[in-house]
Amino acid sequence: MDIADLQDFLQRERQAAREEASLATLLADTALVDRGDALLGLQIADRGRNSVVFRCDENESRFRAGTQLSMTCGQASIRAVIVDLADRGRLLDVRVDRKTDTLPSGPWTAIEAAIDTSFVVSQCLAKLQPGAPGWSFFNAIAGKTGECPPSQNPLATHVLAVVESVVAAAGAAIDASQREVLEQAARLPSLYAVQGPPGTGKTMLLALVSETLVRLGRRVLIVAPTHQAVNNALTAIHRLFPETPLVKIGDELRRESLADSIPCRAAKTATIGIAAADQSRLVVGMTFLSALHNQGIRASGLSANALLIDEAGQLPLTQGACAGLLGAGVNILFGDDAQLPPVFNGDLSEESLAVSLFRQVRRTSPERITRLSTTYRMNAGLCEIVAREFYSDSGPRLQASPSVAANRFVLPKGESNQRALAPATSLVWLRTPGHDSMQANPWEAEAVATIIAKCLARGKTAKEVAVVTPFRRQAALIRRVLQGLVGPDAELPIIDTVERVQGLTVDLIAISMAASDPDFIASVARFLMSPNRLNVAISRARTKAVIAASPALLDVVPGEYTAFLGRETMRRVLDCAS
Amino acid sequence: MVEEVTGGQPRPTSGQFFSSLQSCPQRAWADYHLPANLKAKPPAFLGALQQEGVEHERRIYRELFPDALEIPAHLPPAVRAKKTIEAMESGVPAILQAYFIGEGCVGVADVLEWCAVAPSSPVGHLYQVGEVKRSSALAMAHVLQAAWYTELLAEIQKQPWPEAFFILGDRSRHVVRLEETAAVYAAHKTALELLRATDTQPGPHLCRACPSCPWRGVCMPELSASEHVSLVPAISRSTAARLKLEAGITSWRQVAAMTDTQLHALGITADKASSIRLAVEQLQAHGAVTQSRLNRSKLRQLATMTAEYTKIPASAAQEHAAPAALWIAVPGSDATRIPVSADWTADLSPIAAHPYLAVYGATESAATHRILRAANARGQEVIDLLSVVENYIHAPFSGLELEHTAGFVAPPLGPLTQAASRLAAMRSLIDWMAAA
Repeated sequence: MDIADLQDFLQRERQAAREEASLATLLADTALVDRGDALLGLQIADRGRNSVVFRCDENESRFRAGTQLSMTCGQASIRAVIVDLADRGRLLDVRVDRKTDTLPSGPWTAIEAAIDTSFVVSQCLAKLQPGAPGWSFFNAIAGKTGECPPSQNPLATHVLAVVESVVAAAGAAIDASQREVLEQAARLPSLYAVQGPPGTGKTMLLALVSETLVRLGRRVLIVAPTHQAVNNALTAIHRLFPETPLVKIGDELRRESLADSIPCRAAKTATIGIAAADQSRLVVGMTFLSALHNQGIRASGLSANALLIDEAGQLPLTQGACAGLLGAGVNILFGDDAQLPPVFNGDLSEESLAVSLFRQVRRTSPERITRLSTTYRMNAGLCEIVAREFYSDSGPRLQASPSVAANRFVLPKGESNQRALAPATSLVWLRTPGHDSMQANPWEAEAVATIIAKCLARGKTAKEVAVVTPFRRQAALIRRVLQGLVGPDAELPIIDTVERVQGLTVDLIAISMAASDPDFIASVARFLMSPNRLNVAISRARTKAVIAASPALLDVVPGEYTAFLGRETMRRVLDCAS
Repeated sequence: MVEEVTGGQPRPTSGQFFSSLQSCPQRAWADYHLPANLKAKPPAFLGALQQEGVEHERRIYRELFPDALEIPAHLPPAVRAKKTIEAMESGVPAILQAYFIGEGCVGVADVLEWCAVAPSSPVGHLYQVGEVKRSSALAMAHVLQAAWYTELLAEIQKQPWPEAFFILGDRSRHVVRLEETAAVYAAHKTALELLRATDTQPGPHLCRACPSCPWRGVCMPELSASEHVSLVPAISRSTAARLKLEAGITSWRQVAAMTDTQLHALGITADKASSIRLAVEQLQAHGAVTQSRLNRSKLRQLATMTAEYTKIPASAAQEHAAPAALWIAVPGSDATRIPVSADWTADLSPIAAHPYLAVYGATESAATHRILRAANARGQEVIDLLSVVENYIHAPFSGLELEHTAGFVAPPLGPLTQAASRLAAMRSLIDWMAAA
């Protein structure tokens, strides 16, 4: 791997995205709605100076807070960005690029606007030259610096004291693998990675690592591919170490789950109001792309010498390769390349550079990775399956903490006669009949909705159960059927695609694979039977996973070998199910 | 090179047949039984890809197997097979283009790599099969092909080697344990044996692989003439099979006559039934059957462009000189010829107000992008109609080149080597799609 390879890949990716966007321009609005890329019939419900609240009857789009929109109503057109979504997405609070008093009330069409970040990344890659900042980091991830196993030397006493003080201050009990990470981080490594399988306390550990580095005199910068991940990391630090000054560089609009007391600021004004004595302890968070944009941050006094990259398993290598440009001597990655990977254009997704920064480190320097080995979420039954199928490659075996291992799925108001809900079974396969379904499967919708309705009727709350499906159309169908079962005013649990549930923890997860038509399955097999997606789906659950899936999934021979391996993983998982 | 069917005997099974079967049973059956002269010429892009594949293979041979012994491809099959065995007996580190032949079977492995001395083997050495592929991803067809060669190889060395390896387009080496795919391989082999043994063809079914299938010249007319159910995109192979088995339905006209209740009784969901109804309407109107609804007004607004070459480039990837001119037709106006300089600059003012420029094929798309860059033209999108057809249109085209797609809509008014005729053909294709 060299810079030219990455530049070439980046340009081909950009070209492919442009071609895809060009093709999409020829689709009818209704087809864009089907794809989740558009909403029709929006009416203005309220308007402020530069903000508008739109209402629609139904929202099955991919839109979320921060999505940029191109909106039209007759001859009127505006650019907008979603600030908030409410009422199951039917109320869209957006910021617009002009005064709103003359805007027609509707009906508006909103189409997601494509954002091309390749120019920034390309410029950053071009800066990576021998001797320049970032070159040694690039060489390290390219595997050109030779093996560098983590040090096993005992920590200096004063450093160990810092580690202990951080753990004590957090009031956290840490396990052996977590302690190993803390001690390695305290050695100030130039490149080190922490793999956090589901429920292993990765975010808490990131907070402990951050605080350890702060107490060791390092200025910490936390970056991640998404605002949500940055917000989660900063909020976790704030929860454990409320005295540590924190700031997020970024738009207030992307505050989302960020703790209220953490300010969102522009880079230039980040330190305003922070006492001079605290500025050296200031922990800064921002998205990775924002960090690349703001390399001038060094001039603003926010220069970091320790970089923590969260969700590095979702950070594309082309971007991650530039992390060294941020100038930190300590670089620690947190992520899990067995969970959701970055998204690449279909034709490029099997190329060797179509990987995350984390996966690249695994390829070139697996000795630099520590895997957290105890899950505090999944019970023993689920953990056994997840450990065997998704974490069996190397490193310590994933195991359930004794505190959760014996947990069983219990309905507060007593057992149901539904066999799938029996406490003794952790994994259940509902065999879907028929061979005709593509993205929507009425049988599965009925079956899954019935199970969820029974859970709700017997005392589970909507936050304790969830449904995952590969297709938005199936999610919408399940929502409709469930709403019919539980009544129009009842709160529904999360029913969504895997992308939207990463980070979620529930007692029961129901997975609806939907597809049963062999031709269709073969055409989407790589996506449908991705082990990473299956891992994320199952591992949301503490005690029970119910998978509705057609046996046809296991009979189809996909075109790609990796999809075939995914099929075999799914077969082994379903073989374990009752 | 396909051997001719002789004396009513089906062709021997080769590694390629596994790939055919994965794509379509009818294709595999045709591979065995149909005369080679019914094969269609590969589309230009496929021809270019095949050529690039051959060149890639030669590069890999030179770089990774410099000391290998190559079995010459021009020799008669029996001699190639004999020389392969002799090479194995000599224990050379690698054998290229290794040839196997047997009763009803044949195989050419890209590489046989030496693995071990084996006194118990008749040839004294054990080899494993390697395949060189230009793609960046390993396909199941590649693995099944290698499993086939491994089985033929095992006949010679009397010991199967459990693995095969693959060198992919990025030069990465992937090793596959063939045990993982043994069940799939056995099922495919059995299916191929059955297809080889029967004169009864499985029957064509229109799918995405059809426009580049060598047997499209045989299947497409049959699909059209029989008004086959597969002309409806929502009807997959399994649905078609059930319609035939349970209701004796084979044509979309029969489907059109069915009520939603009857469709539901056949297991067809309401969602699917509505897609079927839409496609049937399009078929009845002799319009384009679309995979997704298209934006008619945007289609009608497309400006069409084509390049006039003194010498037509073979592929988009090939470096070539600038075209002599661009021919442009904006909706409602006659075609305009704009000269292009050797440095790829051109006066693009006639299209300044047109944001969407339609071209046909990767070569023209690449040329247009280059001309737009040279003119520093911003805000214009190039739309490749071939991609539009490939992604959105479900029709029994006899190929994806303009002569096939536009020719399916209406016979071209002149030879498509002429720019004006190409523009007219593109326009008729666009109008046909816009009418859907």
